[in-house]
Amino acid sequence: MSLVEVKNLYRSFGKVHAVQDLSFQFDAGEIFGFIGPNGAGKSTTMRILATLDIPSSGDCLIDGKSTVDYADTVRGLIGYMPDSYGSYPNMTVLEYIDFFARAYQLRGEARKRAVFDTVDFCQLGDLSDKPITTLSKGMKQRLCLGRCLVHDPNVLILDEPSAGLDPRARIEFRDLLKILAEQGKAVFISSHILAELEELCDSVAIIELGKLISTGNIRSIKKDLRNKALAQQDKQEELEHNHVIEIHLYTEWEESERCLAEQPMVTQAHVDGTSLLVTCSGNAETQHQLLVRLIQAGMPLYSFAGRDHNLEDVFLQLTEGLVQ
Amino acid sequence: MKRFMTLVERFGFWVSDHANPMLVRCVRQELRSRGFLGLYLLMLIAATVMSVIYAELANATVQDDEPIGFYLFTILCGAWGFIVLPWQATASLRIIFQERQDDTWDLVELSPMRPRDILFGLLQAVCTQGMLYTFAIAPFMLMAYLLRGIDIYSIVISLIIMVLAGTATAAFGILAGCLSKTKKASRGFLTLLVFGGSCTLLILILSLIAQSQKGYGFNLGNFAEELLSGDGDAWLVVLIIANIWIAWMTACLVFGGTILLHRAANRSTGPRLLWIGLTINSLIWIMIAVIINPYFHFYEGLSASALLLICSASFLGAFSTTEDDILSPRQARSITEARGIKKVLMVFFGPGYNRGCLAFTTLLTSYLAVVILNNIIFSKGTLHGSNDESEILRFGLVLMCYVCIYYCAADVISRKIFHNFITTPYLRRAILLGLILCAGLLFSLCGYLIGGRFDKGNFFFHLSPFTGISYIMVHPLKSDILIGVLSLLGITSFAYFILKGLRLRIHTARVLARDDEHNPRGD
Repeated sequence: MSLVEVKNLYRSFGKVHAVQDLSFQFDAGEIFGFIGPNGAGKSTTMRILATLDIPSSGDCLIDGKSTVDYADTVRGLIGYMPDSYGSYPNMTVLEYIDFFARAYQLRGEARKRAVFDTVDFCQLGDLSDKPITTLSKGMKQRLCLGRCLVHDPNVLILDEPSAGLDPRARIEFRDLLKILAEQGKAVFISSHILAELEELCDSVAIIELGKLISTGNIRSIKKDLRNKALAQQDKQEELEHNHVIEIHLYTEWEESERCLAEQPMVTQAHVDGTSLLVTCSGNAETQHQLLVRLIQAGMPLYSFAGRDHNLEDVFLQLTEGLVQ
Repeated sequence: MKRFMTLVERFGFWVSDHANPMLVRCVRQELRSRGFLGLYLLMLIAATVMSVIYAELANATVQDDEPIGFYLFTILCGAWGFIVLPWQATASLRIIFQERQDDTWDLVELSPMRPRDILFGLLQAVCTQGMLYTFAIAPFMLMAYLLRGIDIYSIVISLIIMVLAGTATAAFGILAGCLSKTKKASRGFLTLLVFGGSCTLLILILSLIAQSQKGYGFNLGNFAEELLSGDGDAWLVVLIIANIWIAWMTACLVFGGTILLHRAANRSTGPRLLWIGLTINSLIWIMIAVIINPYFHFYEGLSASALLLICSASFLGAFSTTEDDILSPRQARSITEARGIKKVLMVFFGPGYNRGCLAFTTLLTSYLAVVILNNIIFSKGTLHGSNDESEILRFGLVLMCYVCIYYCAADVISRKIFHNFITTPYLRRAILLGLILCAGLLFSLCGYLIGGRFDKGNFFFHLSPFTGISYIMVHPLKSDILIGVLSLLGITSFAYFILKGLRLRIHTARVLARDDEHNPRGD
């Protein structure tokens, strides 16, 4: 039995079917990504997992306990970070964490230790006396993560925690999550930054219009996608003959677009300054010929590499961008 | 001394460590809030300016019998009362609105704190603010005493009354805050209600103080002296006020906390316990009145108790007999996991229709016992001048029969005839209320149209719970066939509820979301 299980989950709001027959599971020490366009039902699923909502049918189990029937027990096992949350004015970082430690019935030395450990883990020590309202977005996210961790839960449910963070803050936040997973916590995270999820997650679930499109290990999803595409006649040719190549120039070259357009094997080209994304039809030999021709044309390239499907490609291929 | 200080320090640490988290948070926030500090300073400055003006007036040309101190006190009390009553009450309402609007409520709700604890913490925080304001204004009130025209007892009692009233209105504000969800209109209405209510209370208190000083009616100074001299009546008044205040605060917190509980949780035990507690509390006061008042006879006390019990049973029954008969697993666990005395109590106070029926019939049985006792002890007891010894008993039985019949009819309509449409407790309550109102008015109207005013032979009057009961009160029933039919139906209905109440086997079903339930994107 996995630590977190979602079983045939349905949730409707009138005519809107926010979640439909959703099932997936993940275990302790795992970081599980949750991907879907806006309005796909990610937050609804997370709220049900966090015991803040109940399903129309189906169930969510955490450590074998239903989030509906054993809400009080489950609440002690989870830390939930919503996508939007209000912060308290006129309160410092330390007081904020202390308030939640008190709310989780930590008393005396245990509370003090929990507060300082949390502040220390989230690297908020230097800001502990600062009012929350003066914190940057990144620091606020860390503080909110700290709030989730103060009672040492086994499962973390994080609804788009990196939204609005700068790259450095995002990397630092990601590192914190990796440490938490190494400590044995199950992390359930939704995000729009798919490259980040690809690097962070062991497994993902992709949903659209409340329905599960695919779930499992990222590699296996990619493989499935390829097999699925191969099964379709119209995509078979495309997959066999078209390859995406990423070209990087060491300096901008005005002739880039014209030069690429002249090459017969290039079916599609996208130029963005010194980065070029080229779709080339043919096999490895054709790619070699393209490289030779570009060098002969005087293109100042220093990198020419075939690109594999990343999570973003998978997401775009699997979903249709529909919202309800 | 050193040891004593260590003990005090330890106690202080323990108190701060175990204080309600909401109290700690709100006080920390408020002490830094510009609004609080601004209001505090404004009050201090205004009080200082007014005190200086009045002190000058006292020393100037004003006559010696001019009650300068009283004028200053009334103005200070009015300003301070406005902050402690309407301001604090609406502040407590705003805190809950804000908390629920900003989604911070969800974060607190995820902690092991129950809604009742959260509300209690908020109430404590509001009261602490009130105390801080009181500390600020108290020296100026003392100054009003030092000027001429008001006695110290009046000042102290006024302060106590104002603080108690402030806390009571804050509790009402919190209860009102729990009633509203997100609709702006309902929030506006509730704010207006709380503000209006607390302003009215403030005006009443101020007029009481003014009248007391002018020598009309109740005098606060004399009352304080009576208290200090150990006068029983004065202490009794204090006890009654304290009792009402505690009951009000408890009711606000329990009902507020219950409203905020999820419907899958046990929402029955708290209110049911509270209701029974309030009923017993009222019965105790009736007995005290019988003991201390020689003009209040024991049989009158029993009659009052019986009336209280039937009203209490009707109110409790309206909620407890309309509950769902199938429990959620969480509700079921609140019964099965109870131990010791709690296990016994859960037979009557546990959630669900069956236990609700048992609680309802238990109260009805208590009512019946009091009526029978009244009849046995005072077989010569009279009602409306009649000497018929069994009149009280008969009237009591008839009253109970009406309650049982109408509740049973509503139950059968909701659960047997229209069970496919009437699926929630709210609808069942609406059916019960609707049935009583419709039958009461419809049958009365039919009675008037057919037979005229209180025609004994017109059975329509007897079908209506309104005119039927009043008919029996005015015209004692002797050997009427109607009373036989009524008793038979009443006993059958009572037996119906007892049978339902004795089926204590728990049936559970998972609580699932309804389509219309809270869409976070839809708010």
